[in-house]
Amino acid sequence: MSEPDRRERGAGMSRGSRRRAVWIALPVATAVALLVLVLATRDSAFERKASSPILGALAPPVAGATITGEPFDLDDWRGRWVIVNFFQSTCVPCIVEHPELVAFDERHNAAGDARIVSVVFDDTVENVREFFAVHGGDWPVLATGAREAAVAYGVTGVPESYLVAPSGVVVWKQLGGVTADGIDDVIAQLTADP
Amino acid sequence: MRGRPSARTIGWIAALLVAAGAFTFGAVDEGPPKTNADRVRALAEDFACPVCAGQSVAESDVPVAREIRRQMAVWVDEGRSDAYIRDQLVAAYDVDIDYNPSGSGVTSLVWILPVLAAGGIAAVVVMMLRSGRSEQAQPAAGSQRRWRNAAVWTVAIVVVAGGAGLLVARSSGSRSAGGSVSGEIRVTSRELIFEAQQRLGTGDMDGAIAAYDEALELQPSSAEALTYRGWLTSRQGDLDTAAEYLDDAIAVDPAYPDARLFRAIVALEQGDGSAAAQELAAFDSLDPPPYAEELLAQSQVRERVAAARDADALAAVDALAALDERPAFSETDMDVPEALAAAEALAGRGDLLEAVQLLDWVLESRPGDPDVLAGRGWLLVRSGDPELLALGVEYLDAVLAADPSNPAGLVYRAFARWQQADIAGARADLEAFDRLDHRPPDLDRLVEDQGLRAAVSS
Amino acid sequence: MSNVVLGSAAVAAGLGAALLGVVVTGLGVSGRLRFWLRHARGLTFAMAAAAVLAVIVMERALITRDFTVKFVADNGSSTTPPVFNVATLWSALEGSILLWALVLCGYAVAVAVKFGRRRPTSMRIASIGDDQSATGGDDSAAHTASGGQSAATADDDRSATASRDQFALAADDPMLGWAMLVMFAVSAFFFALMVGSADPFISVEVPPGYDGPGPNPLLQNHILMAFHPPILYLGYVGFTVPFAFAVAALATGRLGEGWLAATRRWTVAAWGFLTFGIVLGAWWSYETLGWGGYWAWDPVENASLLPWLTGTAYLHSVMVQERRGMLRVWNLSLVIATFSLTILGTFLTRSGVLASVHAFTESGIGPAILGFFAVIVAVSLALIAWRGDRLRGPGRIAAPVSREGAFLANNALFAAFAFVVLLGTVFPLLVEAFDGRTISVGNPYFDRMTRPIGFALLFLMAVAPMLPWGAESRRPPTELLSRRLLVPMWTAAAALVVAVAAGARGWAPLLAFGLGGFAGAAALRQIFLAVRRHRWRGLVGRTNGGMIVHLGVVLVAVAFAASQSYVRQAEFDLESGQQAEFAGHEIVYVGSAVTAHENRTERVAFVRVDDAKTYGPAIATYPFASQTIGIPSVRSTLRDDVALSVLQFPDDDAADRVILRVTVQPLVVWLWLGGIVMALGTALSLLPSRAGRRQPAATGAPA
Repeated sequence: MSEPDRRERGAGMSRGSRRRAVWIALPVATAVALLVLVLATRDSAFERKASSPILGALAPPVAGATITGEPFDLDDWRGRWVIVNFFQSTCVPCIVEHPELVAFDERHNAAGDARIVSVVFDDTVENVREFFAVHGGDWPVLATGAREAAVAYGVTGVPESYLVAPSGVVVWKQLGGVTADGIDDVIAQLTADP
Repeated sequence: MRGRPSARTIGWIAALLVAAGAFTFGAVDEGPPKTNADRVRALAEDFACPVCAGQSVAESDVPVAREIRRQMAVWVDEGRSDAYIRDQLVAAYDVDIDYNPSGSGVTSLVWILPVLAAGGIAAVVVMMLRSGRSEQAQPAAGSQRRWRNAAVWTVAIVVVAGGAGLLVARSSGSRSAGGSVSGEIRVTSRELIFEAQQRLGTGDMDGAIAAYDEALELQPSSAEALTYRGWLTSRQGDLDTAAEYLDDAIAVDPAYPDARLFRAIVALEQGDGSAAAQELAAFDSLDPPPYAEELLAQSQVRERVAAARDADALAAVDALAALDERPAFSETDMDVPEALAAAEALAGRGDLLEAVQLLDWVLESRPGDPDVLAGRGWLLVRSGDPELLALGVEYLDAVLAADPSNPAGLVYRAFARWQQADIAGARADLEAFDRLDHRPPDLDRLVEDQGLRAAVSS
Repeated sequence: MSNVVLGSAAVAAGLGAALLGVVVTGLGVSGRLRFWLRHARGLTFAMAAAAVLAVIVMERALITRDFTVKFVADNGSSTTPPVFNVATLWSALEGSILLWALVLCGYAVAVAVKFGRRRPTSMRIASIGDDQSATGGDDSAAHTASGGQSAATADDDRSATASRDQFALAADDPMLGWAMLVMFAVSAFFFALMVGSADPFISVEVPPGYDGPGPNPLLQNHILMAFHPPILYLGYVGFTVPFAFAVAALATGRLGEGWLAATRRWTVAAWGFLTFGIVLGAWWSYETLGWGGYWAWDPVENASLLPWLTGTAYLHSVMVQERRGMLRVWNLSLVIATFSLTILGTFLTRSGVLASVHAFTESGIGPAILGFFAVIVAVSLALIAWRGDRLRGPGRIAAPVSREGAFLANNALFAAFAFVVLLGTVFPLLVEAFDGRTISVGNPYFDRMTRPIGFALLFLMAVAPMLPWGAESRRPPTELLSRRLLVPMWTAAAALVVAVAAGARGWAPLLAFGLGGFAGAAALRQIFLAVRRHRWRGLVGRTNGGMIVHLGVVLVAVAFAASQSYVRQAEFDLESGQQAEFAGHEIVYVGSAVTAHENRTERVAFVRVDDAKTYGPAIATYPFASQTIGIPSVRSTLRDDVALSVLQFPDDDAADRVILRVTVQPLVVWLWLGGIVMALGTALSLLPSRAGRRQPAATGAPA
């Protein structure tokens, strides 16, 4: 080994120093090790997705006027399965999803056991009217009170759908497009095993 | 030390006094309250955009953030507290939307640990400073005593700093109803509007205007404040400014009946009958509360609008050339509603023949127009002459043959049949009218005003 | 030769050179083959040449749009404007690692050249600070003699400069050998990343006529993007040098003040780059994000702030060690912490573990960087524990109210600041690991917790430069302080009066203005005295440059307080020709126009502010990235900024309407001016001071 310069080495050499340094280094090392452990076991933030707090909660109100000017209140449909569908006329996945909603509506329209209400998200009423004129579908589309509903359901983007059970509780949530069969499966499952 | 304070001491005292004075004044004087928009921005910075990576609701421009901002604005306009807004958002989006970690449970550690750490660091610094002085004085205390001292100090620091940390967590980790990050809510625009209404009730017009102005300062988009500010301005005689306020109010909330009504009145006073009629029609299409109807009746707006409309219509007819030299209806700038109004006005002043001729002239260009036919029939029905009445019914029959759900045709024929003492027929027409999805409000009013419903139900 | 082959070869060569360097220096420091250390310099040249070649190849590929390189295919585009085409290198992960490696190699060469040019003769390493009482006594005597007028500026520089001049290492000095070993090891890690999961030169087949998407639109709409990352990297990577010497000092056991003096300028330079890089980043986000914000406590922003905080603490505490010989462990810890935090920051930025706007997309290099971080911390802690016996410095602090006492308080505050920022940044992850819940820690937390620390730091900034170094049995220098601080106190009072008269309200911003006036006047006083004594030389050197940096910090602090506290924002829905009044400004929407650029179409809203110039905030649509971003426009004056950004053009056709967000913030410009002053001050502090030149090196030892 090299011979370190005396003076450079420093003067105060006390016997307890090394022990003290170890005592300081140990807790620091433990803390850093814990931090590394936590960081190493985290999933990527891109994959983490918090579950919605409104699942299992009483459905927030969906009330206001539809695009045809009729009053609407979700509570009037208590006792039925209800799909609350948030959409925007210009969003491509919404256009893709729409025929599925139409199919679902046709399946259940006669029996009246399940219904759909669409809620306009960040869009104009004219656009939405045109959207329904072009793509079909004949169910209430909430225009006024839509923003309150979207924020109350915690909508993060469109399309987004929530299934409200006959009891009035939100039981299922779908980010992105739904399919008619998909909803029916969920309903069947929940009916069989509530 | 000298007896008299030195110039420097005086300088220090003076500087400290000036600084403390300015600081106290600036800290105590609250300045103008935060506007609603400023509160929304402050709030938006404190909530995470639910779909963005590390951006706040204020920063992000994705639709969700935009919608949350708008909803925050609604809540703030409603005078909601920060705590309420926070609870709403957390209920929908979960706690991770709140950038302010809670002061209870595990999360309170984020508040407590820094205070503890600060206590520890301070203790180390103090120890270093003490050891610097005491090392020479007392070379070595007993090792046992040193350990005991260290333990006592550690416990003391943990207790004190931990307690302080708990206080920080308690005070910062929640949004209490009163204190608020978005600026203390001293007064909301709603409260100011309420105050203005009270002042208005006591006849303090200037006080009311001041309160409305304050409310508008906080919330420039308050339809109510704009409307009443405009109304009060119009009562003071400044119609143009009043019209601007009212137009702003209507732009903000087209469904606010008061704004429509006041705008109609202001338009009348400005001599613009057609604008007044438009606003009145808009008012009618809404669902006005009883007090608005009362005000409407009181100020005789309907009558004045009708008079203005009649005057306009008559002026339009008078402007036309004599009957035989008149160009075809389709070549004039008159439209069907105007022609109908003019015919009504002519009939109202007793020129029934002229009125019928006017509509015939219209029918030359627009043969079979149901509205014109119905109008022509209605003129005849009201003539009182049984023959003309029968002729009028024929017209109305023709209208209804073409369109069985023509509301005007149904109502007019009901009146005709009533006059013909055909109560059953009148009732049938009225019932058909009642079944319609869309009933023009003026026809509804006609039915009520003339007592038709009572007559046919007896 | 194709770019992929050439680039891969360059990266491989770089890795080879770095590994060889590790082996050579490793064997060299182990003793028997000490003369091998002389080859370290050549190896740094080889390594740097490889890095330069790799960067040139990548830039060539970017400029010639060689889409057979995957990085270019993923991030390049034929339509990207030329400046941003060059900057594309650091707009995605692999390129940024390449840039990191290049900067690191640059530093390695600089260290090798600077320290390794001496012939291997006897070492002449002077140490200062081992005769504390003498120095202290001398210093305080000087103060009394000069009546405190010079405020100890020359003295500080003299001792520091002297020690630097004497610390010249021979090429085969083990200390330099260890430092080079660390530099080689760190370089090897980054080259290894590029050979492994962050390989910038992956070959890819693209169909003919293929065009890439170009970099993220946000990264190619402002010229600052061309400067902010490289400057930030110069800062981050620069801290490798003091780290390498700290490890070398621990390894060789030469734990005196020598290594501090040797690396001081390197640290100051790195700190200056980091500071300026952070300010440029804030400026960039203010100019491009369009909501009036420049600092959002985003994880990545915090990651850059953390090394800055520990680095700043180090720059101050190092002076205590030079003077008093104490705080050895602390200074080593700060250097190690600063470097580790840059690596941790890289992990947070690059692994995707924390959500941030600035984070690159997920990549596989996370575990590698985290492992590297763990190794650095483990090795450093082990070394400190091992050398514990030599780490107890001889000095101690005689008087609490003294320069060293103030530096101690300064370090306590910076440590607390760094702790708050680190805890707040990683706390959501800790909570999630503990009970699975996701929470957020953001703006309100950081604002509330760091504000008191900021106030305390401003106060210290005013008082500390006025304090003399402590001496035995010296009572608190009340008389001295009352004389030196009177003018700053009056400035503080004046600042408060002016602020209140200008309409400022609220205790927090007013406290910031008052303390800002206090600290600003204190710094100006020191500069004034130094200039009066030494003419223009009074502006250079560590102490004087430091005071200029202080001035910049005060500007930033005051501007920060004002712009955060008095920001006004509103949204307007305007038709063309319509005007709006807001916060004392008149805004007229003149109309809009669509302009087509090669890589985007912009719809520009022409907005006239205060009847003067017309500004053009716009919305740009990048068809390839199918992304729409707002391009704000800011009218800056020294008094306030009016930032305009288009939120929406609601009617796509005829009626020309715009929804415009208007943000009015006072004093924002002073943030950037303050940043420039800080950078300038740093540069001046790197120049040799007058005293240092005049004093022959030999007399640098305490008189």
